[in-house]
Amino acid sequence: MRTFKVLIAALIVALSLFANAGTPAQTETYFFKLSKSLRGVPPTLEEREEFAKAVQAGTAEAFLQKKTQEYLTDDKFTFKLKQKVDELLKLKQQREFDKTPKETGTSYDRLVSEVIQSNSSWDQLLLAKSYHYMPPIPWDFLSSYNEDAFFFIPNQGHVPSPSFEDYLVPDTKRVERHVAFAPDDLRIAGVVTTPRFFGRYVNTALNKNRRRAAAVFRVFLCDSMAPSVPATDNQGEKQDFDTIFPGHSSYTEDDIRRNTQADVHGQLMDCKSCHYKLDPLGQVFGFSAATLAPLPAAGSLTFKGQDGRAVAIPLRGLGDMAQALIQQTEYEKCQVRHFWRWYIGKDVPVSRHKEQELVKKFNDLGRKTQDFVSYLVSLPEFKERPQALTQDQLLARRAVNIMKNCNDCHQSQDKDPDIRNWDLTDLPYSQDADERKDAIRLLRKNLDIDHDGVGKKMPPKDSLWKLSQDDFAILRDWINRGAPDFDGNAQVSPKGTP
Amino acid sequence: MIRFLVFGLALALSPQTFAAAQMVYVNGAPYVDFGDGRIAVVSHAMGKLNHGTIALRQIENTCDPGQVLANCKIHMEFASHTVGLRWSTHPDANKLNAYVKRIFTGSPNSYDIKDGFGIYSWFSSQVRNQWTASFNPDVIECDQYDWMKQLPANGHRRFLQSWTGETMSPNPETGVSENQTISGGFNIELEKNAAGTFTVAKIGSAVSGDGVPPYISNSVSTITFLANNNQQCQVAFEVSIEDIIKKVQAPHFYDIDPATEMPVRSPIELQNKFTTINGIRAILLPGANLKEYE
Repeated sequence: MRTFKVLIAALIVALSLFANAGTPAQTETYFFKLSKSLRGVPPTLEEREEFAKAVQAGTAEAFLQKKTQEYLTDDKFTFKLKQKVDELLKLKQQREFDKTPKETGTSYDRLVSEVIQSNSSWDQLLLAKSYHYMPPIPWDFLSSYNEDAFFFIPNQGHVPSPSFEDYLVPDTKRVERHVAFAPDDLRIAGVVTTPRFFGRYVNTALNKNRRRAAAVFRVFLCDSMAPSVPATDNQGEKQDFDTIFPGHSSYTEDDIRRNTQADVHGQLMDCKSCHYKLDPLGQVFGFSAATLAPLPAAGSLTFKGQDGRAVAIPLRGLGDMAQALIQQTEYEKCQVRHFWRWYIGKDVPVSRHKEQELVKKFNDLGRKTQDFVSYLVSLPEFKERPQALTQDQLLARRAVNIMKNCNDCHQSQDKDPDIRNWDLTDLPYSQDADERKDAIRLLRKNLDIDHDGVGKKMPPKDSLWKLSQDDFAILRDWINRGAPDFDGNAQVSPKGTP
Repeated sequence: MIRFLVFGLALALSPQTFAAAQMVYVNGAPYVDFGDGRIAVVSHAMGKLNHGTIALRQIENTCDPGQVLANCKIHMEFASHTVGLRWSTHPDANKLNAYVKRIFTGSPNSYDIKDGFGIYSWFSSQVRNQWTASFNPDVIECDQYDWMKQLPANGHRRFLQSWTGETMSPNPETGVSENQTISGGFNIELEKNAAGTFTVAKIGSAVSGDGVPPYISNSVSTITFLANNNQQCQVAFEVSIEDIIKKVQAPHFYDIDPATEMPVRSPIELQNKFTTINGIRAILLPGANLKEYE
């Protein structure tokens, strides 16, 4: 009996020791996940031994915090996060961690790596005005980027000339270059004004730098240039026209004739829904073609915010664009969502409330890269072992995946503020049961979910996006099961229940 | 006898050690000393002067969409430019001034260590080299000049912020070939002539450092400028360089004018001359087999 009591006591003590850190198995899983997520490799044998000792000593939590900070300053962390940024910008990724960026890096590579390594504000990706890079290899015709030409021509008009040795002698070492522009140089905007960005998003006479503008919208504001959906009523059409052609009330017949002759694609209503954003931002890239131009070019940052506000910020150059972008709420939300996707997972939904929390933390931490990642990997969403989703939880995720398409148009174009502010991907739709019922009823009716959209009002006939049979089946199933939220809790009574 | 055979076999099988070649400079010009009495100079020369016409058909004016579109020609003097490695000292007098030939033991293949490029005009001399500075500047002649009405002007001068040319080439990030702007210049000035045509009078800087004129394109050439009302304008032309290509493809186009031949004085003359550059680097590599150069 006495032995039994001692055993129970020991068990209670042991359990209490791990009460905060989770069970030993959970903590070890977290340790593995931390190392893999931050560095791309599991903990070493030595680290695992140290961890086991820390667990025994009851200092596992402190050990893990120390390891987090250590991993964040590891070159492998920089490499991994840079790979994610490369993927975001749709640039060719370096596959293997075999060289430090210092030896091989272009100005873009060095800038991104430095922002990460030095725990700078994430905004530096746009605000940076100086670059380090290795000069082009003059004898290697496969070397893709002439960074000297890109940065020096706008400043001096003369590319630094290699020496005869640089060209002709096999073992000549290249010397790193540093180019620094004035803090108020309007032409310069971090990663956007690098040869890799310009090389990826090339320009032509027809394109007029819209491709570059579209990349900026996608990467920094998470605006994917959704397919346009024209207004279906006269009032809506008039408001659209006013937004897109602000001077139209004073157009003469000659003006109208000129407009219809010019750039037909860019004048059509449906096309203008993207072009009214792309064209003025494309102008800011102005005279820059393959390299930076000697002069900045004016344009504007124009878009409709998620809260319905009209944004139209005049820009004197790309430097102004960088400053304007980092001040937008859409930028903050977009960047925290990138980090969430990278470290928590794209399959873990972010509610509006959570998004607000993340944005606040992002700003409180000065938008510092390592600090924000450190915060993310301390969250329960990161620590929790992924559980298999129930059917209802999975259905909820599938349903909102379809609803994202609705958000893309409604949040940017809908005249009704209630609809515009309704995030169809944020579940549950309301804390109020009647409001949830109305919302689901509206969805069911407007999409005509029960009849595969035969009598649908949404999406409109002219929309470039349409629901497939599978989409209707998923939504029907979801609604019939009570439109469960991400936790699997029904928002309304499932079909067939009172 | 057996000893001789063994010795001979041993000699044949032993690894050969080759004397290394070296770079030397004479009056700043690079020479390659093979170390066996042979010396080669890195030299360049122009081909004969050619005259050619580039056709430009205007396709757009963003600041005046209703403008009657113009048809223009650019009259250009141009010549080829060849850089290579030539024997300056050689025991075989017949080889003097010939290009160094790379041969391959056991193979009939060989090539001269030299590069030629076909289209250098006066434009190139303003941004890259000096050897075409004596050419007449390029002249623009159009059937009408409405497209120039909004160009900033000062007397006979017109100002363009940029003039660029597109070509189809692989995107360095995706590898997919696509049209893209790769050549041209910034801050270009045109001068109106008595005949009503315009001469390309000044170029501020090159788009890519190569000095290739923006109207040497197999696609579109684009002028971008700030109009007097500060509106950003773009005038685009469809380009045809058929006449130039015909001349470049003519026999003896790349024949050099011996009077222009001289050692290179500036590394910039080696830019993009990859056969020459890689050829010389291979010679200077430790262990290079110098017998494979004739």
